[in-house]
Amino acid sequence: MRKGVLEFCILSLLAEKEAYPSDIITQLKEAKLIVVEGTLYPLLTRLKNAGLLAYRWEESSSGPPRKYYKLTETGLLFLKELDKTWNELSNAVSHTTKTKNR
Amino acid sequence: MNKTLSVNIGGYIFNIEEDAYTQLRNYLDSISSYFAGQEGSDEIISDIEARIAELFNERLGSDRQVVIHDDVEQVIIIMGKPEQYAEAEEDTQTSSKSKSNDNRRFYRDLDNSTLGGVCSGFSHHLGWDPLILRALFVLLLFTSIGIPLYIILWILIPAAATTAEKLKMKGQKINVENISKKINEEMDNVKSKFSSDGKTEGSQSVNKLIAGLGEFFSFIASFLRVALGVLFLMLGIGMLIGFVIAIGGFSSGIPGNPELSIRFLEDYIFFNPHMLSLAIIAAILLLVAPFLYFIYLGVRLLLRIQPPVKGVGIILLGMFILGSILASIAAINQAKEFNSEERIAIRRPQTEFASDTLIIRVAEDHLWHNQISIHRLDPWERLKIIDDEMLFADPRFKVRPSDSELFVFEIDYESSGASTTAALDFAEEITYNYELDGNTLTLDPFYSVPRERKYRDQEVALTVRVPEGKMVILDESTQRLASGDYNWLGLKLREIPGKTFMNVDGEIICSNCEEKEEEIAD
Repeated sequence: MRKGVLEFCILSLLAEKEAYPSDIITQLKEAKLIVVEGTLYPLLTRLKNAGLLAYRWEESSSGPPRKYYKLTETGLLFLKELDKTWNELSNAVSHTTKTKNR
Repeated sequence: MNKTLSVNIGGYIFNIEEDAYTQLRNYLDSISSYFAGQEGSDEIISDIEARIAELFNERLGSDRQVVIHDDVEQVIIIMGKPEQYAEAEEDTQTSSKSKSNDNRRFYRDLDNSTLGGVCSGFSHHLGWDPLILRALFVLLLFTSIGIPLYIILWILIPAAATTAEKLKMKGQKINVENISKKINEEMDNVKSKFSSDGKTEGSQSVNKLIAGLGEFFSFIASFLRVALGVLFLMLGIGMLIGFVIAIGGFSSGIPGNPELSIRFLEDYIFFNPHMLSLAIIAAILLLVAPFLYFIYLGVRLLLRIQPPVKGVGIILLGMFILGSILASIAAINQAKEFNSEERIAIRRPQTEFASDTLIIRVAEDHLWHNQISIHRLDPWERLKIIDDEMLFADPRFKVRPSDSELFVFEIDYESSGASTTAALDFAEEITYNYELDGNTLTLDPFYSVPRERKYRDQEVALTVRVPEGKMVILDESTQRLASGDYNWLGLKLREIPGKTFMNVDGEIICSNCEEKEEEIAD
């Protein structure tokens, strides 16, 4: 469950602007969606291999060159689908829990 | 002062202390073995390395030059260990289970083997308990394919020898954590095995030879163990099944021999119904205990249950002893009924008559089909139950000289009993029929007692007394009485029928046995 959500969040973050892993990690850590950074790299690679993400290299002043990730066309379409599914799911969940509380 | 090494991480050169390096090396190894086989693993690892380089850079700043132990530790905490990734990826793992199963390999598990580790190897693959597979395999043994199939699998499937293979067998990831865990486990095993003698010296080849011999003998030993186990198990189960069938048959009557049943025992032998129950319980305890013990031994051998299961032996022994005690009680109680000291014989002279010759024949008998019995029939064959009567075949028969001028026919009725009076009662209840027509005495080949009187070893002995100078002719039909008492003439039993006997000077002599006697004299 959580795994899919994590991918959804990554895609959403990258939809706004392109970012490099450290940025993504910071935001995910704030949201407490991620505990260790190592989790992110295999995810990014998988999403990239699925054709949802693309990256470019950028020289960094403080260290090695960085990979900046952004959404591809497919990624964008996929994200829209995910958005829809997510809304349906969250509506269903909030509806159910409200009914239950009543 | 510490030794430092210079390493290239993510394209950057770092000076790193030796112990910190070892730790980092281990960490990266565990990560790469974790991602090994996964798509894009190289890329993931280089990404991670780049990030580690970045983190080192941040930590070192401008005032420090060397990466120390503490830095590596912090970085590992930030990046996380492989098992922490696994937690986050649990869902993907389950959703793509078939994929992760592909990493699982078939190996024979020698660490948990009964024979060759085929079943335990399968159990890792299927995620079943090896016990289930072994039970299935034992069932397969009853078919013709069982043993060849096992041998083929044994040959085809490699044994899990290395730690990596053992992990693959169990479908576990091959990473540093698992490997070191596994190795520790094995070290403990080895330690406990060799705690008594820790000798490991000796040349390599000798060691190899010893190892080879050891393997050979351990194979022979486990083969014997399994063979014995299966034998015991089958023996125990077979006997148990046989016993249950026998009990079933016994309670309903054995086909062709309906007398032999519990009802028979109840009706004709046991006076006291409690004694019958006691005897049956005793029989069950006495017989079932050893069968169960066989099964228990078989299971123990097959599953290598090393220390005996507590209580099993005691319980079975207890069953056996209890059975013996109950059997003794029933036997003693029953033996009283057949007390030989209380055996009673009543003699009843039947008839006296004057004649020169007496012909003795035996009536036709449909119950025993005129069976010729040179030797006494065994007790079960002698006994038949018809309606309300219990019939005994083979009355005893003898010829004796008579004191008077007349033929005398006597019947002795005998019986055992718990007391003299009881025995007397039994003896009086015996019925024996015969017919005297002219000078022909026709004897029944059996006698009877009322059914409810039960079997107390009742006997009938017939005596014909021959007066001086008179003779008795034994018809061929007296074969049926061949089991009678002929010892008085020193003749063989089968020679008696058809012979004539005379009383000469108060002694019974066979008058047409001369040929025989001559033959013997020759």
